[in-house]
Amino acid sequence: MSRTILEVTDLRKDYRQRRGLVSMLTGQGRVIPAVDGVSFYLRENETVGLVGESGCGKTTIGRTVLRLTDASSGRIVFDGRDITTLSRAELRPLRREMQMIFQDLDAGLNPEMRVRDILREALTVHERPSDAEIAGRVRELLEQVSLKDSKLANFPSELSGGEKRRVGIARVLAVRPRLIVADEPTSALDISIQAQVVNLLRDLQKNLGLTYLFISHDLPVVELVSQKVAVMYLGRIVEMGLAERIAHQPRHPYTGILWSSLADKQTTEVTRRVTNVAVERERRTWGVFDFEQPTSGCRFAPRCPLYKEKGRPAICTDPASEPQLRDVGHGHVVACHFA
Amino acid sequence: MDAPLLAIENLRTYFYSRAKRAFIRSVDGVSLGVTRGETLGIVGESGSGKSVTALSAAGLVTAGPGVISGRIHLNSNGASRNLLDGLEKYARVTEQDGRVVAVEKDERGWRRRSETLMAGVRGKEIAMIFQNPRSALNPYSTIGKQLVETIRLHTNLKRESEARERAIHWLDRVRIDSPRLRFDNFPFGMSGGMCQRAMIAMALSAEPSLLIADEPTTGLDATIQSRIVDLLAELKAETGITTLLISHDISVIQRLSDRIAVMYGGTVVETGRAAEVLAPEAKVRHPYTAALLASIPSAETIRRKSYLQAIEGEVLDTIEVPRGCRFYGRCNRVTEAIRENCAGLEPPLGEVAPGHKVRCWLYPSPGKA
Repeated sequence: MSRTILEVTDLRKDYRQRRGLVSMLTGQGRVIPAVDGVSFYLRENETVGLVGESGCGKTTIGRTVLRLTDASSGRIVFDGRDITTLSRAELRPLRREMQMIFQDLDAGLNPEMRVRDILREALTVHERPSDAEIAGRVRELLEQVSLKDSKLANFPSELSGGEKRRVGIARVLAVRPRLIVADEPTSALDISIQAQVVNLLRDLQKNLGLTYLFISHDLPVVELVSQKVAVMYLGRIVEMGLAERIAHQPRHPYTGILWSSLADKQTTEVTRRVTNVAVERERRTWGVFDFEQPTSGCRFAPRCPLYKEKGRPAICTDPASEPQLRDVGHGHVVACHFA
Repeated sequence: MDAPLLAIENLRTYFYSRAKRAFIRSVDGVSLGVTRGETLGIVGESGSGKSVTALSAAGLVTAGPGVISGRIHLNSNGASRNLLDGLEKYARVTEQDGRVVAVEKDERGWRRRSETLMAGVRGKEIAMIFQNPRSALNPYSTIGKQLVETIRLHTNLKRESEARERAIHWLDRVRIDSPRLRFDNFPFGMSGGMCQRAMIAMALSAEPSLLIADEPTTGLDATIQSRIVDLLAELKAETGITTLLISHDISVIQRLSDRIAVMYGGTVVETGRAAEVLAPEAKVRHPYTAALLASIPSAETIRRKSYLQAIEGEVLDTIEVPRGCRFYGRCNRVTEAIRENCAGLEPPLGEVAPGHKVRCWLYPSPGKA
């Protein structure tokens, strides 16, 4: 079994709500736990998918594990080394090993620079290669991301969405990273281009031995590329396990709902997966979800079909017993009293 | 059969791109009809011209040069009018080798004439909902006030109190919980899904003949998306509203549309009954439609962890339109027998079965080819 490259333990990230109308009216700033006690690990050359609705903390996890933002508490171990509190200077040599692909296609692409210069800059951040070495590496990068030589003279504004994405990936590959956090890498792209990028990311993983934390709301794509999937809800992982088990035998009601909300939009083969009528009925009637609404106990209870079906058991809203992740076999963990 | 509620004929809408110093043929000869009571879904990638087609129909194209030519017939309330009537004389296009090199357009004359034609149509006969509901709502006004304004302007309920009751009725119909309380909410206090519901209420409260829904679920969360789709499906069943639905998401189109049109590079490449065009076992299908469907991971692909069938190349930018088929450069179904045609001659939108048309040389339609 390959070794663990990233281990995250009990990670927390609080955001303090800035002064605004809401805090003026309530008279106090509030602390919002965007990530609230999350643990997981990534093995070398594997992909873990992170799914959940917007605001659930997926992107915050990605940014925190790369130390692009500081954790409030918890531990982040990269390649056997605790990086949670490393200083900027200490982090610098590690930065090249952990990179991020941002959702925004223009992120990291200076509009004033030609593609050639963008790549050259990325190649010279950590090293001082000779011009010949740079030229060789640029060629190699172009080949890796299947981009034509002729694009080197272009400015980002002259590129299509797919080409921008390829340049962005080439720029990340320039520093030879081992871990890549891919934050919605395909969601800004057209459908036909999305498939190209997904194929490209999988090829790169195979050829370069990369490890991905793959953040996306596109469930079929996540299921396709990931070995393991973690489902997040309001800052916590509520279920985690092998991709096919999460997709086909979910134990947490929220996971079931996520996949069923997809199912009736998707092809009939996916629809067949949804057998739980209660989930289906509930999905149509539940109120609009408000993640600032305080809950005690299980944070999913207010939207949970199982909670209603079971006659609102007290344990679900007991402040003392928020459900913890527990093992249900086959490396599958779930945080639900009734799973 | 009844005349279609909306009939678009040979619509052309061009834009000038300063960055590319060229004219983009965003909509390039589109003809479509929407029959009363049906939902026509237009699906395509960005740059295919689907949204611009809808905006042109609603007279909402503001960038220049904009709508160039075509006819947009609206047959509602017993009247038939062409929303582009007499406008052709205001614009002239010069073309060279598939490239538009110059457009002369009397912008003021066009606008004056167009506004006369659109008066009483936009907002009233044709209502629209957009991709980003929060930006389409007025942030300084409560949703109740905005609804009341729409109702008083477009229906015969002119009294404040009547309009208020009707507004609450509409909030209730779009399944907004406690509509009386929500009436006084500002858009910023509401979630994206809720804003979209309010937007739908506002569009429908004018009692339009045609609803144009431009990417109504894009940008919303997966679970919220599917509930907006549910709502649109329910409202369609309840009100029978004629809808022109625009989306890049085939699954949304599939669930809501009676008929669909697939657009590529400013033209319609396939149109027909949704069930027929998207049927998994369909044999006759435009290669682009087939490729689009194949690029969504199927259960089979996921199970075998195989590669996605990506469409090679880039989306056509419609600046330089090729002489042959617009999809030729990316098509994987060109055979030697038809290659010459594909490369040199734009295929017609030929009927392959009753009501099912495909723009592809693989399916020559009798008598036309």
